[in-house]
Amino acid sequence: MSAVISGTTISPALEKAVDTTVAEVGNKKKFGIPFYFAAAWLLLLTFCAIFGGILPIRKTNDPDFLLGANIGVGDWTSTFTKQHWLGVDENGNDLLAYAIKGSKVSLTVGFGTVLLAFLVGGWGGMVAGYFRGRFDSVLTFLTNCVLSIPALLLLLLLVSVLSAQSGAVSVWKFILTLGGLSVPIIFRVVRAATLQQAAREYVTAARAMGAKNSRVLIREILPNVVKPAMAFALVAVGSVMVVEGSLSFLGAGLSGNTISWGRMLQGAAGLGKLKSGPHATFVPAGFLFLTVLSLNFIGDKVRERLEVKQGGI
Amino acid sequence: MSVSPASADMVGGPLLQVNDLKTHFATDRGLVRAVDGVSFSLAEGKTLGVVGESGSGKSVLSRSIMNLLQKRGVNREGSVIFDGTETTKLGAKDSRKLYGTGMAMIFQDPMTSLNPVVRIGRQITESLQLHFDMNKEFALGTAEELLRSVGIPEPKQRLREYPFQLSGGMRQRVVIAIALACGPKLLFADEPTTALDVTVQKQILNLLARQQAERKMAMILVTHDLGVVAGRADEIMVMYAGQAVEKAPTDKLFSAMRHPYTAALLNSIPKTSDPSHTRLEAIPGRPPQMINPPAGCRFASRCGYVTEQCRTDMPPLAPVDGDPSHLFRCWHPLSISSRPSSTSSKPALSAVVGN
Repeated sequence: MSAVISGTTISPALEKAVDTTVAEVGNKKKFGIPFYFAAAWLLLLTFCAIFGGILPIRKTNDPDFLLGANIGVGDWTSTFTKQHWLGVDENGNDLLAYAIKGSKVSLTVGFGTVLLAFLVGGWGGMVAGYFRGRFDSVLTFLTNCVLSIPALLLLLLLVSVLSAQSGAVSVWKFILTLGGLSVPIIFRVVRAATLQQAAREYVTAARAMGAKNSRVLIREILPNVVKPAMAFALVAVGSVMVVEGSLSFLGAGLSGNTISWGRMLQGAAGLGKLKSGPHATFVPAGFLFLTVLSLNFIGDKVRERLEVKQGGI
Repeated sequence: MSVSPASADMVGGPLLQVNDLKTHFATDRGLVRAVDGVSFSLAEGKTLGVVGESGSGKSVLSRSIMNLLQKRGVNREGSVIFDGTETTKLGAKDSRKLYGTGMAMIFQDPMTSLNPVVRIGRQITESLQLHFDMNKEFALGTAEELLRSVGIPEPKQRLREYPFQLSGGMRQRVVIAIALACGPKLLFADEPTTALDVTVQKQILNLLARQQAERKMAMILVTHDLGVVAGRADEIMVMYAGQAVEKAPTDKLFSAMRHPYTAALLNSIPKTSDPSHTRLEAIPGRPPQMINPPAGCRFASRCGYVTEQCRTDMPPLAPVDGDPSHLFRCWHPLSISSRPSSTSSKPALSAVVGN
């Protein structure tokens, strides 16, 4: 930074202020340290979820009944030992092992649901937003119908139908249900983005060079829609994980012997249990909290980055 | 070009023949007559300037000729014969073959006519690969040549960049390179310099003229600025409210303009010969509603020479003294003497062309 601008000497204080502004502008493009913490947490979690079976941690089918009995006599702090970093629950199950096993289910449900919703709703939204016409009218009407029914009600209904049919709600059935119910939301988001892009001149320009509709849709519009959709998807994954946690906690989500954070909460937060062994609630809740926070944070950062780029255009 | 076997028989005929083209939009408030019966023809290698103010239908005209308007709610009538082929009857697949190789278009705003998230290289090679089955490497080499020919420095490096990394003028050069990629016989330039700095405008217009001469390409130059077409077009068509109000070879238009609107357009251009602080002569009022246009002359409400006949009867597009090259649509055409004093014949042309 030059201290002399057009012959006038500026004070060191002003120069410093200018320097700071420049630095701030420069920093805007960087992700910042919290972003890397969030990314690191998600990577660690994903790693543990995938390799949980071969990591040197306790197994979920190896309960320590004696240690678990301590909770019954009101001494939950004594369950934190060298073997059990995050303690055990009243049945002696290692909470870290359970949380890692649960992370596999929670991550699968979160990403699986959003992926399914985007595969169906995303394509539907792009096609409807680009071609408009009757196809669009029908789909928009249908999505409005689904969205006008309280989602929780519909979810409870579908889950109870599923569990009545086959006894237990497996991860895949749950993804199918929740994903199906998310399709209308994704449809609307992607359709709106497509409508906006389809009106831009580069679409006309592509057609004026002889591109057919499918080419315009995939090569021209898709790259423009995919980035804002990605920011939305990351936040959506977090929301889906919270929904899974809430439903399983209420006993209306995953059932059978599937372990998820929601099911851990369901087991841990019964009457009086929160007082006698609060860690059994806080461990899965903490995992859920950190994960959703990380996802939202990364989603926000991705969106910010995109906005900066859009401003430059 | 194998669009039609008829094209070979039509050698010598005009490249583009537009007959009574009408383009109407169905809106909630009624039918908007954006283009209302426009006819003209254009020979190979020639330039037609289409001039008119905002809302005169000039942009819709070029899009309508290329059939780039959406199908829904658009009513398109008339005939467009390009290179011996009636394009209004072509199916979607055949018209796509015509795009790029037969006709191409440059758009007004290079900020929006380039895809912001696609590299410039791919935006150029896309149509080369589509029309000529080039492999990617060869297409990229051709793209590099194209960028060099439109005056972009370090073209190889630019191929890997995104539109936002270029300035407005450079972007418009890229847009021109894209349009020229497949060697079109006819180029539509839809206000190609409106979104650019004045200093860049001239460069771009000169570039277009040079490319046109090199490629023996016909061009339709759409603009609101008579000054832009003055030195560059062979023929000028002045549009008002969806109709052609005057059409003549360029020097004839400037030396013997007949329509009051043409004169008013010319008068609204600032002239370097005027003393400073001279007020610009704006045309009072606004163009008429295109939903229910007035029965008579559409310029009647803004015209200084208006009579009762103008308000009730639509003047026909008639030749000047039997000269079929100069057509005008007015009941009370300007004679040489009644023309505004500031725009006397030859100085008018030189004033807007500049030096």
